[in-house]
Amino acid sequence: MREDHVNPYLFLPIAGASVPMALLLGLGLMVGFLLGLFGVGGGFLLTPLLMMIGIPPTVAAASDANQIVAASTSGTLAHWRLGNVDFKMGLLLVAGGVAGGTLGVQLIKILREAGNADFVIKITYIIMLSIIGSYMFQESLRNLKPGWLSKKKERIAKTSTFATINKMLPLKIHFDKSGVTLSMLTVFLLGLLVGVLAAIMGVGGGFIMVPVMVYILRMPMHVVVGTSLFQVLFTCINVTFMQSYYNHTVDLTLAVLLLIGSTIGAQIGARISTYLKADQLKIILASIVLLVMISMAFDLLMHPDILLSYKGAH
Amino acid sequence: MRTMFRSLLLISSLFIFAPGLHAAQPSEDTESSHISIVPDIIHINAFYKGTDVAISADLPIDCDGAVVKIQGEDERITLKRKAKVYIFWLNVDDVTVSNAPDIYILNSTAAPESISAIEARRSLLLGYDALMEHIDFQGKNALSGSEFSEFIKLKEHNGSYQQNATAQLLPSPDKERNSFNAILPIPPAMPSGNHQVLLYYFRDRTLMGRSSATLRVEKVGLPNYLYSLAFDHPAFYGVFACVIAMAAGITMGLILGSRKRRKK
Repeated sequence: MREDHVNPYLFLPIAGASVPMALLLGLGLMVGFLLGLFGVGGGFLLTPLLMMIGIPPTVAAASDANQIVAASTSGTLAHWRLGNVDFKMGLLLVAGGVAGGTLGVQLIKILREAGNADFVIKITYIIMLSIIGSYMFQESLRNLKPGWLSKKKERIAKTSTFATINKMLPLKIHFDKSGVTLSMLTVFLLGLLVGVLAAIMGVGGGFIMVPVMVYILRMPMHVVVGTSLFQVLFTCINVTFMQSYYNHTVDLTLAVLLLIGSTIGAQIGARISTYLKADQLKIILASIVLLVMISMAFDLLMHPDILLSYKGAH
Repeated sequence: MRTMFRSLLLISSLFIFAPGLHAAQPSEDTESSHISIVPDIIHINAFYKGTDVAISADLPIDCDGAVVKIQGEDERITLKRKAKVYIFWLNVDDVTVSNAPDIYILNSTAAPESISAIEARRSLLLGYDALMEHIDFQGKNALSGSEFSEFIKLKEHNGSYQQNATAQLLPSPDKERNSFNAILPIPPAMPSGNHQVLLYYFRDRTLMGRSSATLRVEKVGLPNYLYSLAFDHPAFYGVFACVIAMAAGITMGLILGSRKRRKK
């Protein structure tokens, strides 16, 4: 067999596959960039891409979580230096997320026994992605159009339902970095909701958490990115350990190649995010979310190439 | 009476001990059936991307077809099955697959059904049609009947199952022997351990003989170390994976952060 010195391959012992090193580095770079730019883990993009290049689904998901630990550590550090991480908010959201994740896993078990887990998961994904993506896109587009200022003032003047509920709840604290005063219960319960959804959809929760922080908690976009990275870090540490311990599906070779690319990408993404306006960031993220939703809907409607799959595949 | 008994005993012993009076049985010790495999040991290192194993053997001149295969251990796995629900393609239930070899790589001089009779193919598991009768599918709901072909597609996707008809059987210059040559592509997913390479050769669709050799596959270096760590010490491996990832993230952050400060 010809030795490929130009494009060396790497053997992944847990995945049982050989993949070009350059391809893995490139994928990591792309995902890390998105993570640094938006605070979104990229798991919803990277896992399907890894499966396309021949990595078994369970190994793809578990190793992806491992590399996100690296990229989110790098991104959190970069955003912390820029003053964009609200650790108080992040820790409360993590606490809620862990509790929600545990609940979500139990819910999946019930759905599986009822025999329609896959349908619920897929439809939840598509509905969540379309709501989040279209709302973000529409709102950001409106803000970027001329004359948005008067409309924005009007919106601020109205008191939202969420704000009304928040006023009634106890245990209020001020989050200095985010510049908001919220009940700890509010933050915890939102984290719980995101945790449940993340467990159902099998993702880190970043792409749900970011819109929640922006639109419900009313945090500034740049603080949202850094704080989301902090929350994603803890979620993925938990997933990495659990997958290693219970399923033996973390391929460290794969994760290291991906994280070399993603840590660099996260730094680049974090720096570029400072040059973009908040609404510009939101509109780009919204576009990506909508594209992923369309791709998922397409997959659901088209006849698959192979009708059998290994467990862990979507 | 005694004479008749002795005659019967003599005749019986002739049948038992005399060679050539049996129905044709495959012989494993014929000179022409020595099988050579190159390489016979495959080391899977960090840069391994699969390899080809060359099989060669000298077969009898009157042999008209041959099949070589590597067949792994039978395993039992549970897969997810997709079906159309209204307009959506969804995973609807599980299918348990039993008696399926984890590896099945076959190469022959022509399609197995043209080389050998159905009985030999069934007993020796030569070809996908013989494999179909060996593998069992079970599901909670009624099966569609296409599970075997979908299973083959799934296995062929990562190279675990391969069936080719590119082997060659050429007469030697002196016309005394047939020279058999075949290539078996070994995928990256090949399990470690000793694998039997089995060669069967036929004349007029009847088995003439068989031969076997051992192909050893072993992980070496970093893949071996990580694989052992992941399965023998999973808790430590999980913590190690997280620590490596965080250290890489912090290191990259510090390196790129310090470069930015120097530029200022």
